[in-house]
Amino acid sequence: MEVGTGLYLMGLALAAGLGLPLAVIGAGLGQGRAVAGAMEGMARQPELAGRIQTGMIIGLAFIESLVLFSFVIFFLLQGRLPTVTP
Amino acid sequence: MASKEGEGDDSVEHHVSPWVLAAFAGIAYAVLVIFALFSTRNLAKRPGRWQNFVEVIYEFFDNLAVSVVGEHGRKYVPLAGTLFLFILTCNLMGLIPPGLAPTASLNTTIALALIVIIYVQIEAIRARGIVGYFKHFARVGEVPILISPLLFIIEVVSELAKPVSLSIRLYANMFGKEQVTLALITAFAVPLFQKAYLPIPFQFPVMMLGLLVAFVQAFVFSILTLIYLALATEHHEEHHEAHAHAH
Repeated sequence: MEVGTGLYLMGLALAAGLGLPLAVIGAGLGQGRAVAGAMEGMARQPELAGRIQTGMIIGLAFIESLVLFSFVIFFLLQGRLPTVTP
Repeated sequence: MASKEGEGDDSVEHHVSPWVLAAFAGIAYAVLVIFALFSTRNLAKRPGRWQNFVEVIYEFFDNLAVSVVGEHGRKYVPLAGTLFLFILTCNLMGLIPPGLAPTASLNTTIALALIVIIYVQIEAIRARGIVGYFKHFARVGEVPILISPLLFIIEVVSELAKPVSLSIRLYANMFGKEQVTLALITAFAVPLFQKAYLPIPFQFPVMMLGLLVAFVQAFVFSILTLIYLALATEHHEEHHEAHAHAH
C-alpha cells in the first residue's frame, strides 16, 4: 500500500472515529448548561415551569440535532472505510 | 453485523423496499383513523373515557398553538396535532418487533418536512401579500437599505435550511436509535455454535430511551411547525416587539 493511500485511510478512520465523540462532548456541555439554566429558572418561578420546560426541550432538540448531523456524516465516512479480513 | 464490502448502512430500513415503509406508514394512518373514529363514535356532553382522552390531546395542542402563534393560531391545531400523532405512531411502530419505523427513512421525513415548509410559505404569502413576503426576506424598513440584499440572501438560505434540518433531525434520531439497538444486539450476542447466537437483551435500555425519543421528536417536529408558522404570519406591529425581545 502506498504512503498516500495509508495516510488517507488513517485520516478517514480518525475522522470517522473522533468526529462523533467531539460533537458529543460539545453538545453534552451545551445541554448541561441549558438544563442547568432551565432548572434554575423553574426553581425560582415554579409557576412558569411548563413554559420553561417547553423551551428547554426545543433548545435541547436543536443542540442534539447537531450531534445527529455528525452522526449521519459518521455513517457516510464509515461506509467508505475498507473492510479488513485478517 | 455482516458487513458487506464496507457498506456502513445496515439498518433494516435500508434493506426493504420503500414500498414496505409506505405500507407501514399506511398502517399508521389506518391506526389513527380507526382510533379517531372509535373515540368520537358517540360524542356526549359528559365525555366518556376515550372522548376524554382525545379531548386532552386536542386541548394540549390548542393551548400550545395559542401560546406559540397567538390567537390566530387556532387554525394550525389540526396540522400540528396530526403531525404529532402521525410521527408518534410511526416512531412507536419501530419499537414493536415486526414493525418498522417509517420515520427512520429519509423518504418519509423529507415528505413531512416539505409539507410543512410549503404550507408555511403559503401562509406567509397569505398573511403579508406577495410583495410583503419578499420585503420581509430583505427586512425592508427595518435595516439600512444597503444591507437588505445581503439579508435577503441570508434569509433565503435559512429558509431553505429549515426543511433540511427538520427532516434530518427526525430521521437521524430514529435511525440512530435503531443503529445503536442493532449494534448492542449483535455486539453482546454470545456465540453458541458455528452460526447460532444467544441474544442477551442489552438493547432494552436503549429501547426505553427510544420510547422517550419517539415522544420528544414528534413533539419537537410539531412545535417547530408552529414556530415556523408563527414567524411567517406574525403581524407587523407585533413584529417589532418580537424583534426587540429577541435581542
